[in-house]
Amino acid sequence: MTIRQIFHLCASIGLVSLVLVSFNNCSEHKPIGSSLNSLGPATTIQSSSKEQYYSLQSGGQLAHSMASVTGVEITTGIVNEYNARKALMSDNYAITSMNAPMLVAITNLASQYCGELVNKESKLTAPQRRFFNDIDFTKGTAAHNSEKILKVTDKMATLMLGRKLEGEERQIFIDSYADFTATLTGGAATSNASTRALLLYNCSSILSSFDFVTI
Amino acid sequence: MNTKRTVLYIIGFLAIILAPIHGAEASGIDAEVEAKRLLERLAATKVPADHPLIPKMKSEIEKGRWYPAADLAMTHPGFLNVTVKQMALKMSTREETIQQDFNDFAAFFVGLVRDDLDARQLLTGNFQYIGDASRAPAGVTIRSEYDTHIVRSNDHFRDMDRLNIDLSRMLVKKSGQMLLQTQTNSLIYNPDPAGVLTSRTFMMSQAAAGTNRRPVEYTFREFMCAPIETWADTSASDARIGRDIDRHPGGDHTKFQVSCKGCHTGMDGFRGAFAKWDIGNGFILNRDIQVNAQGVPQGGVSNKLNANSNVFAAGFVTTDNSFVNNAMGSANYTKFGWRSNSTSGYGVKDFAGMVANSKRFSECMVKRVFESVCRRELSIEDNLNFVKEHALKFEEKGYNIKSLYALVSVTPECVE
Repeated sequence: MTIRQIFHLCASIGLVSLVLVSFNNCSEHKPIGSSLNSLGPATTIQSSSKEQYYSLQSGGQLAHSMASVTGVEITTGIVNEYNARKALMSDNYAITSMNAPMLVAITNLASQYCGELVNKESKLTAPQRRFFNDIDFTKGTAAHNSEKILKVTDKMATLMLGRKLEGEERQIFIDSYADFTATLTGGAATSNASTRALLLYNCSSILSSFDFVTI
Repeated sequence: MNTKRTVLYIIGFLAIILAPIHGAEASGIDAEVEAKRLLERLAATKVPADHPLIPKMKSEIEKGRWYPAADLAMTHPGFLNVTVKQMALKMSTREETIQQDFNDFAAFFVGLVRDDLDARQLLTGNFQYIGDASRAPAGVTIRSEYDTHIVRSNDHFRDMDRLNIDLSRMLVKKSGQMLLQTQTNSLIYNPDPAGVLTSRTFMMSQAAAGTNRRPVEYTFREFMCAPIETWADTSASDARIGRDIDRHPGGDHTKFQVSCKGCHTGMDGFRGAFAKWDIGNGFILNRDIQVNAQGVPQGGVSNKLNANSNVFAAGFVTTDNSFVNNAMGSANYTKFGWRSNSTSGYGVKDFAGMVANSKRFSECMVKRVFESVCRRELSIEDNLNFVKEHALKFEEKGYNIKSLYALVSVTPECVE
């Protein structure tokens, strides 16, 4: 093969590669393990229900998940809340089993973990905190504008859900900030309790969101 | 060489140079996302985006090493404390639910997986797993008096059912299984140990009341993934069907022949294996270790095996713990894939060994693991190629359940 032929061959392979690489992102999402060649050709699993592709976490899973993402110690308060609510949680992973009492139970459990998280981080110096390093725990919401709270909430979402807040979610948190601060009267907005309550609210919202309770 | 061709050549060479860079970048981004997904799937737990296992798994995935990545994921405490525990709990009782207390069946399962033991020992092992109370977190009491809290109740295991207890640290393997000799109030080694089948939980659930057909039914249901209606066979011999089964239900012998008989040929053939077993007030009993007031061994079989003997007096009378395998018709023979020495035996241990060594047991484990980690149903019959392929790999890996989790969790089928 001459130098010219090799040149031709390489250029041709390159063009094919370019097409393949360039259009890769337009193809359907390639699932995990698709590069695993030792298992041979993929077969299609016959599932009885599409709904089960979203799996709802059981009570035990949620309790462990919440502990995992918040990194808080499991306190007696958390254990008691879990024991009181676990019968209401999913026992079959089916998304169709979700109901109102279950959502209330999940939110209550989330609030326990989030309460511990706020307590824990409020005792640390700002650089030591994982979630709330932009927050001044000695001050009320008056010292934390919507933008700052949104930034902290975005960080929570990133650490807890593995992604940033999306458009509609951001708007919900902006609206809820406005609603929350509008209810504060007298000196409540300058009391540090209001900051803790707002963080508790936002954290509990994330831990009881669809993205979090499914796996 | 014209200009057009030159441009094409340049683009072509640039593509060759840039393609690997593009690929690495793309796989780098995907690898992190995939690492988190794989970790969450195997640990059955959401993890923070900065979890320390993710970079290590990402590194393996970038090299195309999915199994080592899965192995790393299985070091997360959630794998044993949530994924395996919930799978085991669901198999442990008639209710088939994860909404129940931790128990000795689930402890056995979790311990066996942690210790990389041969999964067939789930059904044949002469040991158990209990908690080491000294490893409990400060302030947590695990009641551990063997007689009171393990043999006569579930207290020991219920105490371990706490969010802040890490089963991977707590469980210790204990040789032998102990049973109560009621007359002397002493503990005696189980003469017919068969892994989780002779656990307190399984027996209390399946041998309570009834006629000991249910332990057979649920062994097949849980470990062969074969509900009784799927292996009923009216063409098999009815010679082992007990005296308590009406041969003329509603005055119609045909109904027995075409309906009742189908389930009873299989169940009654096997149920002799459980003939020595019964339950007491919170504990399980084996006839062979019971003595009367004079210390004379009771022997024989549990009374319930021959209860209601006047329904059909010519039916089979159980006198020992022998059993025969009536699930040997062509359909069932293919379905279960029986291996050597599968025609008859004595006691639960023989029965369990026969089940554990069948092809179907391995296929059922594939189904169980798939459903546990991929969180959706898998019909063995509708996915035979997938199931058989992975069952074979499972056996080649020495029936190691962790390896099976690794195999199944990274298949495209698991996440499609």
